[in-house]
Amino acid sequence: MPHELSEMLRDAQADAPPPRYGVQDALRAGRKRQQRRRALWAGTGSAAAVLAVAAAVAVPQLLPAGSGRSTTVNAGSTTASKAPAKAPFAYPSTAFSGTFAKYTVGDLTVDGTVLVTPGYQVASITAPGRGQAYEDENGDRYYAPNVIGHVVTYAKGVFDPSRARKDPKAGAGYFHAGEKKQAIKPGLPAPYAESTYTWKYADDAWAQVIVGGGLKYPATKLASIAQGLTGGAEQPVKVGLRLGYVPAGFALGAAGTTSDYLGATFDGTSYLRLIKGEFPYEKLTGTVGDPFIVRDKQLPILSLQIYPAREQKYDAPGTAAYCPQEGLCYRYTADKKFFVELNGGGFIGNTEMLKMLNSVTFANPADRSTWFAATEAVG
Amino acid sequence: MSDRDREFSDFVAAQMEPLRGLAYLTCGDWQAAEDAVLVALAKLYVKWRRIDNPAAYARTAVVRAAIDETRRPWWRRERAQSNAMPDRPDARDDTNAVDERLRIREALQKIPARLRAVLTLRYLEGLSIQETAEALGCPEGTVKSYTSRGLEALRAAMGAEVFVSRENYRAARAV
Repeated sequence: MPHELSEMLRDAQADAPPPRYGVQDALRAGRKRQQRRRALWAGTGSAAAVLAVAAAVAVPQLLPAGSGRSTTVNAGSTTASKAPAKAPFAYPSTAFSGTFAKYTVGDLTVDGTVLVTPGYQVASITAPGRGQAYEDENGDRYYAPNVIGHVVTYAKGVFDPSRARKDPKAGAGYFHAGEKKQAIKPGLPAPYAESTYTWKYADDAWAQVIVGGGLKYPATKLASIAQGLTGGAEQPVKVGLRLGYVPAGFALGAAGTTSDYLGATFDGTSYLRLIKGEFPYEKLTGTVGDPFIVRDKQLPILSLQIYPAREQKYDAPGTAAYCPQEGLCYRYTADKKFFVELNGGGFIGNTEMLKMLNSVTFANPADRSTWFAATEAVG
Repeated sequence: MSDRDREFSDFVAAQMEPLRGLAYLTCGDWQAAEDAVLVALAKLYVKWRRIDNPAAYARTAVVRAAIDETRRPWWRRERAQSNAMPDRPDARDDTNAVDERLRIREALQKIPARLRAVLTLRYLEGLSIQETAEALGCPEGTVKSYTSRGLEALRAAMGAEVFVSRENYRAARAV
């Protein structure tokens, strides 16, 4: 029997069991949450004052959100001005290796390589203060690092600069200020496009500094990040697991400590993307996330990412691999401090996914010296 | 009861059931759906009177709670959406309604949660691509791609018997 989709969705909601919660439950939950937030703010307010004094220079990332930028700019700038001459940057000579060195520009830090693909490598840019706030199952808050953007260096011939726009303030590079988009509905904040600074770092080889447009960084600020680009010794990118089984046709496509979506991650996190088929890294104007389209066809991809245990929303007893829903499977490390998530995206079934997870050998995610080179992690 | 609490209670009384249905379609479990709705409404209570569109806020919070979107930011390329739809349906056979409902639920459960959420927001809630992208915190290209993949997966699970009416298709595409 054919189904009209909206009717079908309405049908699926029918015959709901009696609700467990009512209006009063929602009211109680709201009041409780408000009380907890007030208590939290009262507590962190006093703690933040102590931290601000003790750590303004040495540990700027401990400053509370919103207060860090103004108080730590000078400390960061001093570091930059006294830094020794930077090492020249060169693109890696082998796939899945990184050559970014860590460097600072004012209050911003460009961390080492966080993601590599056959077409480009990425470093994250971290600002003082806290990033995205999260809440664990007990209602306790924790914060991601304050990643405000990325530096991307593309392999020779991969980037298409024809769409980059010149700005007189951008020096030798091309600057695009991320514009404010239209708010979808009244009351919702209007999102910003990304601000980019694009420059040629070697013959036919381009790089970009990409930050959120809402930060309003001027061209000169992004240009200074570009000018600070510093090379490090070429090192294979490592991850916290090794796969004993990989479905036929899939091969390593990306690796690092963040995913293709370039989100801020926590210590111990690492990522592998497997792809079936050849994705042509050419004429890019930015990094590539899912979907990987070749001639209007989606290449199958699988992603594995290790997270700290508190990130888990589908908890399960023991350490055996399990799939709480179709296309999403998990396995904990032996100490249950971390878990790996395998996202099948509908390209392989749960049986195959469980087979993959059962073949995983974990390194100690908390100790990078035990991690595996990405090229060895995918058999 | 304060005015604020009264306003909030009226809102909850009107919206709790639709939100429960939305959460259920997203996560596929009534209990988890109710928990997600309660968490979302608690968040809404704290922000009550500070947001202009509580219904949109609640919908976004419910879906995000159900699929945990905030943990994995998305960065996607656009993909053209297939407009191909199967033929119009035959008259519905009500005598098999329960069996059909079970089959529909089973088919929906075979689709990854994010794809299911996109289909639900667009074709049940009637959100535009832009609104769906905002609700899920992802680019519009991702919504297009997931709509296409979700429909494809649903058709595969249901035996290619799923179509989108012209009216709903237009409504869901409108920005």
